[in-house]
Amino acid sequence: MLNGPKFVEVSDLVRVFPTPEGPVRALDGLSFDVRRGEFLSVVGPSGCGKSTLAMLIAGLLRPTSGVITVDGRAVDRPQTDLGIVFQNAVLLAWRTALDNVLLQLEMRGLDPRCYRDRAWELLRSVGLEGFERRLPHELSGGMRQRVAICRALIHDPPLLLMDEPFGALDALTRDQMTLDIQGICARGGKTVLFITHSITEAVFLSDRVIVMTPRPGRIDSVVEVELPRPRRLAVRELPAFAGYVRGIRDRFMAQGVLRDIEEAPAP
Amino acid sequence: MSRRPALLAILVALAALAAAALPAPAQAPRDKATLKLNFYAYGEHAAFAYGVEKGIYAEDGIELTIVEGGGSGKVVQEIGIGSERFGYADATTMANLVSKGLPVKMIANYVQTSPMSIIFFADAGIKSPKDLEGKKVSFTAGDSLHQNFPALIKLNRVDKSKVQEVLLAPAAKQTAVMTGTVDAMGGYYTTQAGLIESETKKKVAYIRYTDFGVGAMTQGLFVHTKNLGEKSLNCRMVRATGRAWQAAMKDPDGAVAALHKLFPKTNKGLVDLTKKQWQDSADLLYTKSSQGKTPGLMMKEDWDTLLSLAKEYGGLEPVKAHADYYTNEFFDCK
Amino acid sequence: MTWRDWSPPLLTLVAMVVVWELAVALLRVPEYILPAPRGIAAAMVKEWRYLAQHTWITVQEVLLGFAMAVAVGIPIAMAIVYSPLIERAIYPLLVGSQSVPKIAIAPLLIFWAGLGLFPKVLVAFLISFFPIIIDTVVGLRSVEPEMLHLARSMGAGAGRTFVKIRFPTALPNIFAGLKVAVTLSVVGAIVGEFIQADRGLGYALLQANAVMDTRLGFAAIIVLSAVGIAMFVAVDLLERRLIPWHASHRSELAAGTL
Repeated sequence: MLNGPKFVEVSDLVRVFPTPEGPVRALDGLSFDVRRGEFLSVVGPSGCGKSTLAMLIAGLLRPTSGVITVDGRAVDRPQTDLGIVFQNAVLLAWRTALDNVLLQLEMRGLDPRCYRDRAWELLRSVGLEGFERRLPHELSGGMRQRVAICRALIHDPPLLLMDEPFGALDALTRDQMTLDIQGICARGGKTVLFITHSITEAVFLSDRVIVMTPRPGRIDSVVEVELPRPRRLAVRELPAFAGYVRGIRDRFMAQGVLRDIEEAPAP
Repeated sequence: MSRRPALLAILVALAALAAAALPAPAQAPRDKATLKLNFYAYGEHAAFAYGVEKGIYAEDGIELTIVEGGGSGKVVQEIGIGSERFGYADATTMANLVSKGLPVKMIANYVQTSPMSIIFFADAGIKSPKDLEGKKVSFTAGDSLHQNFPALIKLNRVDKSKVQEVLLAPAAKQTAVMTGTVDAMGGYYTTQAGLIESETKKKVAYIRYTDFGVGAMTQGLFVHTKNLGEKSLNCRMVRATGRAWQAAMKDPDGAVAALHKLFPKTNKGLVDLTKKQWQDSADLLYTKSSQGKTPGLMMKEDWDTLLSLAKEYGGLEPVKAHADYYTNEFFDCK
Repeated sequence: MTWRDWSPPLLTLVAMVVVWELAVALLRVPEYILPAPRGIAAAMVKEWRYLAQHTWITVQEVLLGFAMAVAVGIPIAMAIVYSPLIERAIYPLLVGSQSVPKIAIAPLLIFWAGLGLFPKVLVAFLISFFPIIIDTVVGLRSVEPEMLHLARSMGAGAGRTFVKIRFPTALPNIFAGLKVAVTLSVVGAIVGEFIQADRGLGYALLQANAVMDTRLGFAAIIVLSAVGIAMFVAVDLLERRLIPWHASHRSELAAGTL
């Protein structure tokens, strides 16, 4: 994993947004790689450009300058050989869970009937057995997000982009999903770019964590997380885990993003 | 072998005889024409219905369809854009639009003495225009009654400031009198006096504009100028209508029955009311000048009167030559 | 629909009719001002065939006008959503057109559309197509941006995205527009008939007014209202069939559990 072939390469990526108040530099010259099969997280404060980065890699936004390549090909248009999961599950309200998953295929002009079994399997693997025929409004937030994840996987893409996928879920569901996503991605050998606010989540899930600066977004540091897989809940109690988390937190404190309360003066 | 041709000849001859014996094919195809009335059916229209019912139009080779209209103003405009072949509406209204350039022309007029009146309950104590001082009178803005009221006032030396005019929509104008909200209304006595009496069961009276110096021809037949060239049809229409008018005057019950057959909702089915309306209207066929002439024939003097009234009190502008407004040519068919 | 749904409006209606009947009797209101419900009912029974004939004419005008409004309104809405240029060019004109009282253009209408069914269909169309456009535009624009991102990442073109995502998303709004439009179509058909007609419920009403047959006039009004209600209910039923999943159709109990 550490020295695997590069799957996504980003060099000198710059993205400027025109706004009424003047141009805003969201990303200011990012360069990094994502190795094949790697789980890479990007953590940073709000407004640091993490979501913009995901959109650029997906080809849904154009860079102002810089180059992005995925699997050797330059990204100059919306990428289709990937799966995207947003914070908002965005399911179609009139389709069942199963049909929402199959949407991925219908939109590609494929016959959904050929993939019914696979979709069923996927939903079962994320614990939604029995809920295949439910409509989104009959599902909880966590369930909907799991449907969205299945939708992002049904066409077996090599790359997964996830932009704060658990941000709208409650803490317990979040913990569960973190465990589940680990298994899903490992099984498929997926390359994952995972955007999150949560340092613990990033460390728990990733092989590497990219720490970003506040706007204009640059790479502050890259942390290699060498914890054995599969990572069970107990991993979070390990001193090494706390060390990674503290290290990243210190970076945010150095950036001024996080400010601790003053220590009480010694008596 | 020589019998064959002979047999054939006999068969052919028989066929020819049989064909000759068949009833003659329907006479020369009838002209289909539609007549649009000035308003929803009421007594005045009985003659037209009678003409259709009794085949008077058919005799003259006209298959006439009659449809109701929504007011003279609308009907004149509609004929002017070429909707129906014949229209029946108020002459002054038509003249106003002719002055504005609408391509229509009147070919006959059947209510030459004006039915314009001020109508009121008999106990209102009104005997002349002067008695309107201190009263409220309802009109509909822009209609002939309203337009000619100033003439009535002026010619009869009524103090304008003492008469209160109330302007209302047509239906409301009538109800206003019936409920006593106003003292009198401007309307056609031929149609409305009887109607009000019938509804309220109270005696209704009226004073006619024409008895007090203000009167012009009203309803008549008119056509789009592009149809003036169809002399035959126009002639026959005028002739048949004149005959229908006279026949209906001789047989008012038959005429009214014909009207109610064609338009069952006339006057809510009150046949007696329709009969009174018809008879009152028939009385107005002629003016002093046209008395005794072919029904419908229009006299120059009467058009002079109409145009000068319209010009002075109705804003008719510009006043064109008589020939632009009407023609009697269809009374003179070879 | 259950008895519980029907009884409040029905009972209210019955109460109103009773009050009306009593008022007319006690206040001795003349029939030419306001007829009593009994008289109106009698007229409706007696003239049912006449009313039915004219109702059929007006219903045709309403249906055709409404169909035209849908056939024209939805594509215009699509054009507005997909082309900012068209939006800027057309939108202000559309809004302005709604302020023009259709009666004011009556002579023009007769000139262009002639007589018969078409001018009434046209007025019904003119009055009812606007809400369809507005609501359809809102509906088409109510798709979540992430959904559109996903659609692009799924490689779907504008056509497929429209058919599978945008249009179904817009349906609740479209139906809101349709419900308003269908009742306006009824108004439009009658306005058209008031301008010029010798058939239809509007004609029947004007004729009844002209001869002071208030019973028949009110009967025509009641039939007209019934037509409007029936049309609305028809669209509503269609909506329930096509978008049963929408929040507005769920009962109070089901919503709010999760």
